[in-house]
Amino acid sequence: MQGLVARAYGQLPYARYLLCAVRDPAAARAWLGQVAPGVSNASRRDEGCGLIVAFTFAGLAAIGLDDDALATFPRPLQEGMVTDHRSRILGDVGPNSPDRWRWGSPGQPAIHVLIAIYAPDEAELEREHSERSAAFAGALSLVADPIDGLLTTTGFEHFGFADGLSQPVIKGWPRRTASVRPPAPPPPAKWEEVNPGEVVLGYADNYGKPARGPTVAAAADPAGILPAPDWASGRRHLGHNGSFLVFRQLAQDVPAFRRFVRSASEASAARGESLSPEKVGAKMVGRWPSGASLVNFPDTDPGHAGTNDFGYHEHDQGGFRCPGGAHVRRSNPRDSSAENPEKSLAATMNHRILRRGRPYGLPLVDPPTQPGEEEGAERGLLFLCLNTDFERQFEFVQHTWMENPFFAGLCDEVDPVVGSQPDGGGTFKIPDRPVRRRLTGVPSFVSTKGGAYLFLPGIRALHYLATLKG
Amino acid sequence: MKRVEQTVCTVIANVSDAGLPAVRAAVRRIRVAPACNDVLPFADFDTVHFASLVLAEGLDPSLLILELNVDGTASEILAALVARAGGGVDSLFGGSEGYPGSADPAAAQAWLEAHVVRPGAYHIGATGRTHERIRLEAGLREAIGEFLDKEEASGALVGASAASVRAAVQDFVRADPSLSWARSSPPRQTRSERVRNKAMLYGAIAAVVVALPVLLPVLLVGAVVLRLKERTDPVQDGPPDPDHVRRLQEEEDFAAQNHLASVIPIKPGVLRMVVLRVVLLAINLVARVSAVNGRLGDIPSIHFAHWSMINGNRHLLFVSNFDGSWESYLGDFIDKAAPGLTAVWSNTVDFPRTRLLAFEGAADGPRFRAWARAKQCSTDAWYTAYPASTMTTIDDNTSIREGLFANLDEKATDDWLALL
Repeated sequence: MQGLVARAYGQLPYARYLLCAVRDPAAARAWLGQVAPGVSNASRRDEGCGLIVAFTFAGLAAIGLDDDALATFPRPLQEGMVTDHRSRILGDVGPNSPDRWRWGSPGQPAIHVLIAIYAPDEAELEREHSERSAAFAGALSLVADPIDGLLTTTGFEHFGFADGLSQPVIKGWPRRTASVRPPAPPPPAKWEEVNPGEVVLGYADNYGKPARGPTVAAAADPAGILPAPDWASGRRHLGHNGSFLVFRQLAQDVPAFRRFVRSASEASAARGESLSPEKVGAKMVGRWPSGASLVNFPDTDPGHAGTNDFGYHEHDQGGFRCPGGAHVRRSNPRDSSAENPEKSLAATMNHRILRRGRPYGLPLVDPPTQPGEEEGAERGLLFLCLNTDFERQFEFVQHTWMENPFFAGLCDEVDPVVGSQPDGGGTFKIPDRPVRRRLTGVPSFVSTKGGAYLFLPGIRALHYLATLKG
Repeated sequence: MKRVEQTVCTVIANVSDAGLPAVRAAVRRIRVAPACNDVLPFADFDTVHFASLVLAEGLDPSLLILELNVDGTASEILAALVARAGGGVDSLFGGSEGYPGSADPAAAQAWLEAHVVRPGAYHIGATGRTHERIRLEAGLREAIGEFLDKEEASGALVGASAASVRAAVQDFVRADPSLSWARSSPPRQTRSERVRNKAMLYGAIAAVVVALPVLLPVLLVGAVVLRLKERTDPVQDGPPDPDHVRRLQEEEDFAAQNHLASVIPIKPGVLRMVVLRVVLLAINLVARVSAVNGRLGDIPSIHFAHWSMINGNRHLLFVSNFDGSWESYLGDFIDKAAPGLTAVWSNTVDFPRTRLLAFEGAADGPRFRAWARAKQCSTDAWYTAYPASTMTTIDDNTSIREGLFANLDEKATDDWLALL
């Protein structure tokens, strides 16, 4: 399987994402055959740079996959990220609507292939990029400007918070990454573990049966490259060791976020309270900038992320520490979504996604020390995540948790950090004694700039695709 | 504010092939603007909470299913429909056999009542709360919320005690004559209703226990036969038709709630019919006792839902008005209610593989979701009277009103304030 399943390439901070269209199918297959052995493999560490290759539905058709096989892909991949219904549930409306996207909307050139390059430094990235581009010249062409992702040395996202702290861990697999920085002892399995089939096709998912994914007719694989699944006779499993990839470019309005938390803090000071900007931000995010949970550290930032071992049910069902509508509580409600904490957690674990994104643009620095650090520069998150069921995992998280105005008994508010807010701004309830505070006029801090649903084939499937006949 | 019982009232009529085009046209006119149209303008009937129309074609005969979730009795709402939208009722049912027409209102009402199908099992989330009450209580919460926002902005809450904040809210409500109704609150369910529902459930349990010596051999034989059938009953394998799902999704996720309807053939044979009847009866008895505070089992998101055996017991109808997305509703089914749902739906065709009636089945999430989508009907028209109120919101709003002037101790005061 491709390396992205196992790794986030934390040691390769420079990344470039190339959105391509197939120009010449035969040449594209030849290119794929040549490049496949060099694609990052989950089972071995990359020497130098990392490379991943993924296909949209249109890309699979363009490279020559037949209709019989195409029909076995899940409907969301077939339709792509942009349909009226999907835009409605993902929050891609108003300023986020696809007709304002930079790439990936139906009015723009179709994206067929995503090539992602990961490199240890800028020079290596450029070298690798020109080498890879030369290799696909004539076969593929770029349909959008290359997008560069850059991990900051601190591991913080642009609003200033440690990111990527809570990830599902695949049951039975070696733990490759520490869940927190600096590494803390791994939390009990119940907070993290999912069955392999939640992330990788062909393995048992949380319901105990293989996550299926696409197949081809046995006759369409005469060389016997693909494995035969035991759940579909006469078929070969194109999905085996593959996954489904969500890619979204999300711009973050850092000045607006900083202004908002500062003004909320100043308003509280005017009332004779002392709510620091850091605390306002922490209440909205649900963690302190260091990544420490508000459940474990309700009053001040301890300066380190601490453990990921916490639930909400026992100590904070009412949200007095971490508000019920806070960003991290919406994106992973843990044991708090129903009355019974065990059932609640079990249900939550059926909707996890493995995030593989990284920031783009330079951090906002005041005063700027180089171009790109100023207020007006664009910066944000290249959101990538892996799952085996778009609807039950990624779309569920986005729709039922993040963008749901009635999440966990709340009344008409969406995620205060990433939510698509109504005109005039939304609200955010901060439970407190004797009575809640409510932030009003919360603007949208994040806007969608592009997006695509992709199939991340296993290594064998890459080889198979390269052997297709035109 | 008089306490009124709610009714799940479903009118089902056969539609002849000749009558289909006219019914389709009438349903389409409702679909475009369910609240106000020239056929059945649902918003004109303030006792209606939710309503839907499903035209199930190709069942031999085709069926028109009008679902009405209302305050009051079936007779009351049907009389109101005939009296105030007689022409519309005629355009829906005019092609059905024996429909007398609204020119004779009493006869039309009687015909409609004769075509009401009683639910085999039903759930009402906002027990005892009329549409009017739900609307008023939502307004109360909003008014209190805005009052607190102003108090917060003015600094009046800094250093305030719980008791003083509550007193300030009480003063605010007292000072507003338009909120005078909020000074008291009728019960969600009366004592006699509770006693009656419990008596029925415990009575049924007692009857089963008494009859057990006789029942046991029958049950054992039934279980063996069922187990044999379970191994060979055909099951759906594979995803639903993508175009079908696309059509369903085009109508979803506009309001806080969504609608789900299905009409599924019951598996052939007496055993399945008897089992289904018994399971629905049991669920109904339990639901009457346990599902009175907005929750059905662990599911907090259902406003009105019911199952009925229809069309000469050949089909099982399910209709539900629920909060949030189809995905979250099905997720709740799978995570929180799989055995009960399996016990019901495994008696209908193509259901995922089960064991002993209630096991596996819906617990096989991916297969169950695929089956549920494949079997779902297009809801041809759907009306919600309160598109921005979830079941949890409605219950919280009622709790806010109930606690507003109640005698609360310190802990209860804190809990009440946390709702605001």
